[in-house]
Amino acid sequence: MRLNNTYDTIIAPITPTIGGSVSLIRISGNQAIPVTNKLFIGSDLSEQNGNRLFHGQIKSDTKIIDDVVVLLYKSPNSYTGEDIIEISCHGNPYIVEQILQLYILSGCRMANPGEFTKRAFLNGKMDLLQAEAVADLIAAKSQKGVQNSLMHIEGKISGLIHSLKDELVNTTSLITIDLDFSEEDLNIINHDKIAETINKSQNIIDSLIRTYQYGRILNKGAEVIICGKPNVGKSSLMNALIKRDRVIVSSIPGTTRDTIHEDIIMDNISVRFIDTAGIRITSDEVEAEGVNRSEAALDKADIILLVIDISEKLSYEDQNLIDKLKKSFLSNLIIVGNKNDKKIDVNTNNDLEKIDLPFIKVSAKTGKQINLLEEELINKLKCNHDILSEDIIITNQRQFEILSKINEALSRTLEGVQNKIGFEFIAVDMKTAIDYLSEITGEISTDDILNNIFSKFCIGK
Amino acid sequence: MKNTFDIAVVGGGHAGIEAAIVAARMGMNTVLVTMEINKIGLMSCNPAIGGLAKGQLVREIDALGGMMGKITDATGIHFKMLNTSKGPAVQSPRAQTDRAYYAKVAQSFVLKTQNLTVIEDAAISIRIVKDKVSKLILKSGGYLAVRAVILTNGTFLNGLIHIGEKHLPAGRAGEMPSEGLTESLLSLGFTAGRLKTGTPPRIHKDSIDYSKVEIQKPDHIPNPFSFSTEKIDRKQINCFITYTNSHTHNILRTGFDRSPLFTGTIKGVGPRYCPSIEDKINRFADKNRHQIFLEPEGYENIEIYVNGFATSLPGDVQEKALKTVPGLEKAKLIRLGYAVEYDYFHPSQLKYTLETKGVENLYFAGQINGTSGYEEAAAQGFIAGLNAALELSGREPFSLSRSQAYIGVLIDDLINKIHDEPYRMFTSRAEFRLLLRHDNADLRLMDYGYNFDLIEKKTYNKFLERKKEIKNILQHELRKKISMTAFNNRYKNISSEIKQSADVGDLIKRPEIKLEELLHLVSDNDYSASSIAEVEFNVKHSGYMDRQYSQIEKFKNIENKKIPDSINYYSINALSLEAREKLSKIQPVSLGQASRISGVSPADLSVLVIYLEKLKHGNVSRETTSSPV
Repeated sequence: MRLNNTYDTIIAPITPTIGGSVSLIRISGNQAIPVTNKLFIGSDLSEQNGNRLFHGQIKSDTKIIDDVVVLLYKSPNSYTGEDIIEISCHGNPYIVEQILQLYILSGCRMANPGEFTKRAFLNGKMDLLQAEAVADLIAAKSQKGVQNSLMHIEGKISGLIHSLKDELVNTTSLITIDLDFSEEDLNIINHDKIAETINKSQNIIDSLIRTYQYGRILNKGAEVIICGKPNVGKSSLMNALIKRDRVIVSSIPGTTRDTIHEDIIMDNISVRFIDTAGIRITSDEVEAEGVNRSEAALDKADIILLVIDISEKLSYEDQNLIDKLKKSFLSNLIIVGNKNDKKIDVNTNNDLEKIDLPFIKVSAKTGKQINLLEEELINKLKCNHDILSEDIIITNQRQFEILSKINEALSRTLEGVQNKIGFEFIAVDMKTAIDYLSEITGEISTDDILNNIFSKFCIGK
Repeated sequence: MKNTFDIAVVGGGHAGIEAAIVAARMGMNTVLVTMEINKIGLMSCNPAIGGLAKGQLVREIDALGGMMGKITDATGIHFKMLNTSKGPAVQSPRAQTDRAYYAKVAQSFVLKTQNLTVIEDAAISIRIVKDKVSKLILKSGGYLAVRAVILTNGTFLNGLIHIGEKHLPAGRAGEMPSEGLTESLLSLGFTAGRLKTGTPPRIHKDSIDYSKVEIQKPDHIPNPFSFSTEKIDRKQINCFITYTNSHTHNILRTGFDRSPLFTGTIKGVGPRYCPSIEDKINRFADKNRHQIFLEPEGYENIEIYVNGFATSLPGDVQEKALKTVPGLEKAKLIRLGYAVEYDYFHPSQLKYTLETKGVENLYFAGQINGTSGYEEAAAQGFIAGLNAALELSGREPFSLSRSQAYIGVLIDDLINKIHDEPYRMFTSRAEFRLLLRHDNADLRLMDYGYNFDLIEKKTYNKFLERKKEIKNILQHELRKKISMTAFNNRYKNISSEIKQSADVGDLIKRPEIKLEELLHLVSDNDYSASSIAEVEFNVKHSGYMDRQYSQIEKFKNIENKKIPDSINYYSINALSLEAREKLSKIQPVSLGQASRISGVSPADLSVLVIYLEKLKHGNVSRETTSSPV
């Protein structure tokens, strides 16, 4: 069946316009083929089958704009379900701009952010969760993130959410049926049974929620802060981790005044290491600026590496840092005992062993045991991901927020169940949980939700 | 004979009574066409009104100004509040009535209503001019010139009774079916289906051994259905309970090969909920006994209704099986149980007003819409009668939402869902059941009834008084403080001590504390029990109530997203084929309604949301909004 388009024809570059050697421009809608036919010297595209490439030139009046390859997709077998033309031209912003202008003069209009995907969704090519996954896919920063988004596009998470919902709906119907048949001795369901279902559902929701942090890291990358008092080897550690000599290493305390960062891929996760100016009380005004910035960065960090020179006595300043960081960042703090290549101060070592925190001894200079630190880092980044299966990870903030609300509703239900309150009340909280589940899959979709999702796309995707 | 009327109501059952009376009271010149005047209001099945969820319906009908509650209060012989072990939200009033007397009272209400004429005849077809009702053709040869017709034919349309291998055309035992009308409606383009319902045997009350059955006592103080009834002082009599056993089941099984249900003679689908006894032993094979209620049909009536034993098995099997039940060993059968099959019209052909979408001013109400139960019928009759009158006087239509009333749930379910069995109301169908209680139906609905001038001044004043009391308790009494000593002395060993004086409103949140008792401690005012109960429920469960209210807000949000008329769903390519078909057929008025239509998926709904959004911004080409071809 051919889709009879009711939407106008839209156009946008779908690759970055600056910096690539080739740019790709997508046109979707029922005018895509006729307009291209006017502008393209090569084949008559209306006569051709879809899923094919054509070489030729784009011209304006008599002037050739560029030598291009045109990809033809015919409705409904295209990304949006409409007729699509993709023009692969040279990666020159001026050329791209000219081609866009030609199409717009011929009646097309610039696509809004996410509009191609929105059309795909509207034309029944994907469901809401899948559409969201496309947004995540585009933004994904790591290979794992890409895999995870693809998993969503395949609909694995929809499946999980649907089965969860089925379970709750079934239980709720038993609860309400019991209200109608309670005068007959049928014993349809009891409080224990309900508690069992809710516990089970909550476990699943819980682990989904716990994947969120990891999912976010997969999509946006992780931030690891390296801190410690001056001259403990923070910059050397960073160099060791990124295996490149970039940060100026100096043994005069306070040399590294700005936060310096470096991105690398570790075990498929994009990790940004940030070297901070030492957190210390100082009268040096230039450095004070750097200190403030460090503290702001700490709040944003996924992992904090506190570097301590274990060849020296534990100073008051070290102790102060440990106490301070432990208080606010207990779950994402790792203590790195540097200068393992030198003679270790026994007292320092013992004191650090006693603290209830991961403690890794390394030598940034020789690279000794850096691999152990890397392992610990990866573990920490994945630690909240203990999980259902490797496959399903929540990456999307909307989904995360709704899941938290579902959890809240389920906790309230459970509280009622434990107090043995009437089924008519339990049903109220169950309904809240089910309504939220329906929101995740878009069953109760309001325009706000939809518009919100599609507006998060960058132009044209 | 005068033959010009505003509205003709066909059928004198519970739907017909409500429809005819409300239409007449709304000032319409109304005629009720029934086969026999003295069969108006006759209960074909159990002479009982109310029950879980159904009791709520009766209360709602009453709050709007309908008749059913009043007739029941005047004729009830065994009132009982059901589900008293549970909270007020799921309790329901039920009453056993005197069958003969119920019909008599119903008839007197009908006959004394002004503007209402009763004609003994049968309708055989409807004449339409320009898609509008114009005439009702009668069996006797004449016709009525009318502006609107309300069909409430019950089980009479091509009714066919089954008892074992015997099958005879009848609307109910001993009465002729109504023939011709179905065919007339089919020719107008309506689609019909076939349903089945059943009734148990009746036995002689003197043939029961009462020493072998349990006594079921009525409530000590009968709770009236109607808000206008002060008190019920009629004599209350007992019902009885006994049980079938495996012996009974074995005998019943011997008749299965002659059962119209299992031999396939009955084509109609029966209800899952009020099943025949053969259905029950077939479906719950592991249960070795089923409860049987022995219910008197009146003070003087010799017939006992054997509730729970509905059957269409052959007479000899019915009798033999019945005699294995304790107390019924010598039971004398007065009437055999039977199943009746009848035509119904898919209610998806109706609007919220119960007017048909195809023919203007034609309304369907009651079992003709595939429902089961007197209360469901009466509710529809009332809504159809009221709306026919409103329509003819050029006024706004009236409908209730799911968050306002069981009546709203009933009609919304009927017109939007696919039904493959008779529709019976249940508590489980109402998602906002905490709010839709039988004891607050007046607070929810009486203002509507009053504005239609259907509530007597006296009743309405009583209602205003109740509202004032509730407000007073909420605003004044709940804020009063109870001293530490007064409370701790009164509730020693009952409730945990308080350390300083506390508000009444806070203390009644404790489950063990009753508002009535606290009011005695702080107030000299004498509040009615119903006002106290209303406040107590709302305050004690305020957390749940708040959450239910926010669910309603969410519900309204999507309910208020209106869908314009005449959208050509076939032009929205992104919709699934099934959704296009269903949406075109039902023509939902709101996004909320669309979401409840069977066959419309979440993805379809999202598509619709965006489509409507575009429509609003004029982003859709005109061609897609033109009406369907």
